[in-house]
Amino acid sequence: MSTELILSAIIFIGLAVIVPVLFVATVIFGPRLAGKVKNEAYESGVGNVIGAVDQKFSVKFYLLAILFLIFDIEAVFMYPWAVSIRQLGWFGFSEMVAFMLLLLTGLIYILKKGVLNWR
Amino acid sequence: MDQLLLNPGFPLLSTLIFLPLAGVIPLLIVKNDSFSRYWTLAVTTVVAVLSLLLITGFDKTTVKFQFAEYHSWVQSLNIQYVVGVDGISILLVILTTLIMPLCVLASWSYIKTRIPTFMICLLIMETAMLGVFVALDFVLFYILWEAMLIPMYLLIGIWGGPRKIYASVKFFLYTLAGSILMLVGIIWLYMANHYSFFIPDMMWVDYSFNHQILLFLAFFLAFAIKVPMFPFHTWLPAAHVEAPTAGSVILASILLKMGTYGFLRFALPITPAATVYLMPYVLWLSIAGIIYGGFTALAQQDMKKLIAYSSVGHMGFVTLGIFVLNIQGMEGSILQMINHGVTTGALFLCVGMIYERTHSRELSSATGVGKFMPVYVTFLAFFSLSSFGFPGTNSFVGEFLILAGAFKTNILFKHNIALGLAAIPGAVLAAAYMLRMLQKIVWGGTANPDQSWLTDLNIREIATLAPFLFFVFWIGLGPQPFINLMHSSVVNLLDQFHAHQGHALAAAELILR
Amino acid sequence: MTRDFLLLLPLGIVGAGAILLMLRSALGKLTLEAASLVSMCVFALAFIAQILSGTIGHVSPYGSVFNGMLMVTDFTRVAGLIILACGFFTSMSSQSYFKENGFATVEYYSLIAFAVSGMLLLTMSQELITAFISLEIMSLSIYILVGFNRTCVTCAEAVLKYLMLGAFTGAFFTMGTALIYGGLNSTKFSAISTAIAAHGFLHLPALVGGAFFIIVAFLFKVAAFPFHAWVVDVYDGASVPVTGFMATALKTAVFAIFANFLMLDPGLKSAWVNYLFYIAILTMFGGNLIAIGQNTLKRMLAASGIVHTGYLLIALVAVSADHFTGSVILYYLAAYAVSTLGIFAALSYLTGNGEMRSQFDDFKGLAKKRPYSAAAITVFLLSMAGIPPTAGFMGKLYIISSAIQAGQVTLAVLGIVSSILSMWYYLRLIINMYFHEPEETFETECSVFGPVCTLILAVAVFAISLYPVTI
Repeated sequence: MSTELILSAIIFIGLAVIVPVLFVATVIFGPRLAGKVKNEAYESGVGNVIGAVDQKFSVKFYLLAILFLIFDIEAVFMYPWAVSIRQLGWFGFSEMVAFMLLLLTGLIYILKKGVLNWR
Repeated sequence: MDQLLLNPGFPLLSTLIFLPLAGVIPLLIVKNDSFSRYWTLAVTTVVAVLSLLLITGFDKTTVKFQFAEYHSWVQSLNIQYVVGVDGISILLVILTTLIMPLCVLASWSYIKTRIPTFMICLLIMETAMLGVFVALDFVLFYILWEAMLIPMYLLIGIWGGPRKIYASVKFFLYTLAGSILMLVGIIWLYMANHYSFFIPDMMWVDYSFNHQILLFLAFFLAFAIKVPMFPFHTWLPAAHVEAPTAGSVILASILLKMGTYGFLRFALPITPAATVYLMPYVLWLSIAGIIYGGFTALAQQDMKKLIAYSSVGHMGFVTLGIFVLNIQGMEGSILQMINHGVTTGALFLCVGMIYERTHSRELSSATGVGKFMPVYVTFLAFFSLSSFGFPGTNSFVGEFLILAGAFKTNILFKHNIALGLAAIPGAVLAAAYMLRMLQKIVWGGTANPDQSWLTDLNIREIATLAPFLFFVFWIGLGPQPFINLMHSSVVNLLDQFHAHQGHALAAAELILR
Repeated sequence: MTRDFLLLLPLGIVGAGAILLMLRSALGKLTLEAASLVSMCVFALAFIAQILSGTIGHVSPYGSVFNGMLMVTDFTRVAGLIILACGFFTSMSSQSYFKENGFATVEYYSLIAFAVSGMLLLTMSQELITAFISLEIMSLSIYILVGFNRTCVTCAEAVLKYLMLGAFTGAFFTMGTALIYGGLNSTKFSAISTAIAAHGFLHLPALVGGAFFIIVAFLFKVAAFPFHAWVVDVYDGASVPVTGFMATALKTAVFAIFANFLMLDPGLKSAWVNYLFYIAILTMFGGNLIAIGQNTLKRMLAASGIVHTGYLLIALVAVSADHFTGSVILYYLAAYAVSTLGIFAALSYLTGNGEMRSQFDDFKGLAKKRPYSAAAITVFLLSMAGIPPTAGFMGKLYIISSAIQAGQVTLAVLGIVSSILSMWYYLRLIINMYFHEPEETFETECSVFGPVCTLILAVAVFAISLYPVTI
């Protein structure tokens, strides 16, 4: 058995022991202070979440979340590219430029459609 | 290719096939009722006259396909445009071309709505029907065979009687369902014959016995429905009753013949061993059809239904004649196909003429017409006599030959006259139902309903019926020219048949009974 | 290099056209009519480019940099042609449709172009991740197209169903890809093929599982038997041109990649033949049963689409994996696309405002009021039913021939039986159009585009039937 395998086994077993211990420890030793704000479910600005469950959220939240996702993924793509940019050379660079340009057209579309105007 | 006698000169058959189709074009442009009547009459008449050139140029001595044309069509699948006529198909081609102008005449005042469309349907029908009889490539044959359904479907469905939708859908689905297995058979033959759809190449190949049985059954279903043979006949009365007169005439005179033509052209030459093996069943089905058709016709009150069921009986005679597999039976059958086309077509025209006047096909509402329509009943009487095979008329010759064939020794029924005896009651029944109809129409009481306002036939109607009467007597009194046309082809078919029928049976170690 | 460029040019043209339309719509300087013209021009240009690339043989464009992820063969090229033609005729009939229905924006045409670009990429994919991405480009655009009419409840239902089940499909596909990658360390078709050749398909459990998930995803997209239930509601909810587009272009694209995947190796195909045999039969007869019960035209056509999937599965079962050309599949797809697009093109101007004529009974007596439209619809229906001399008949002839050649006579016979059953519901529309008296005038305020599109396709039904194909 290789040392790496033993090491990873130790890490996983350690995690499996430590995490439950920590959970239990918080319950036992942690301070519990009740209060109005503390008892609210989320602090996201949604307002009171107790009551009717079919209340409508503004579609702006979803739009923003989706836009965030798109540009987030863009960043994720750039990490491996940045790591291997020397091997990829100018071809890799031009590929990334093309990718960015495509995203840019998307951004222009979003701007012109007024999606980012928080009315 | 050596089965073809290529026609180097004027492409007569292609002209016959495509002239009606070309005739559709003016009808699409000019939407005028009386123009479309005259134009269609002109086109079909030209086709009829041109088709007579076939007779003058026909060589009675050869068994090859004459007036043949051979053109490549789809190279990659080896589909050719091949057409040709031999002794078996030539009479059916002539029958088709001659009947079409008469159908146009019969629809002159009968059809009142959407006349250009009606005429387009008739012309497309003519193209498809002629094509089926002369096609020598299986794909061409199948395409035209199926293409025929659509105009016929529209003929029944648009201009038909009260239950037209039921009848047209039943006709369409029944016939289509029959022909599907044929397609599988065709493709199997295509594979088995080195990727060729050329029909003469598929004949007399001696396929193995099991394959022959499967092929025979696949083809049998398609043709038996078209004929229609006894258990597959139920679409026929519905379609006949609801169809307009011209539709009924085309259906009875030409469409039904395609089934029997199919037996002669495909079933016998391609699957001879299966034909011999299954022959008793087919023969008894034919007998069942003859008797059943006769009894059912006897009980009908609707004149069109009566004639439709009589067709089942008459076509039973035709299949009987084909499957006794001797020269008398076969020649009688081909002749009887023509006779049935002439006689039954004429009878449907007669019923249509009454229907145009009284708007009823009930026998009871046509009683005593004879007193006021003497010309009409004269025609009707001759056609009725012909229908039950009165000596001197055409059907007598055909039925006589078929019965002679049935009594004669053949491959299976050695010294056995049961078959012939079983068919005899059919002839008697035919006389019974036809005379019953004739008696009511000619001598029935005229008071209820009142028939005195009826007018007799006009010139156009007489012109429609007269050619039929001419053929009734010509074939009845001098059938020899007709038999001469088909004789060498039939002799060749039977010779080849007897040479080949034993091979596959022997290979399958089935002893001939 | 120019060769590679030419191979990907159609894809580039369509993609650029889609982006152009999208930007123009944001800038708000394009009318709807102009947008449809632009998209038609884009598809026409791409079509020509695709034809021009036809002289080049079996190649992998930019193989060195794309690492053989794409492959252009005659099969993918013709599939691309069919898809581009579908895009062209959809844009054309949409133009008429939106004369009566007012919910479209310029993005509609842009989305069609995006979907087509995804489909083109899908046909060329030779690698699972590329296939997944192009599948999603196509699907996402079509989800939006299905739900384009935001005020309509059935559309909302359709898009929700389609999105949910489509997401499932995507998940299945990803799962399959993951399994295959786990087993073989590669997602490339060529690597899968080498592995099967080396070890045998059934000795690679990860591959067996992965192929299962991926094929299920394909069966889902083409609406084959156990995964066909969504199709009727979704087609019903989408607007007429979009339904036509989905029924034809999407099916072509997915069948292209399906065939490419299945024909990787004879081992993979032979392991699946038995299952596909039963799936094909059940698809045909299940689809027929559903179609017989429908009263709405769109629902009937959706169900008949299931039946046609069954025929195409017969073709998949019957083709030989050793020397795969796919000509039978493509011929049938082309024949089916022409007839289906044609009938939807006719419906796009006949259904009227808000698709008020959608039932069979709404078309009573059409033949009297609009004889040419009725005749064209009849031609399309007969072609779908496989009555000679239409393209549909030749397509069925090829499929049945190849089935018999492959020894699958049972499938051939059942395929024909099913085509007879299908006549039952196709005839219903013909009966209504021809055998009944008209109850209304069928006046529509449509442009010339819809009828012209219908006419072209009606001629194409006969023209394609004359075009020969080698089995």
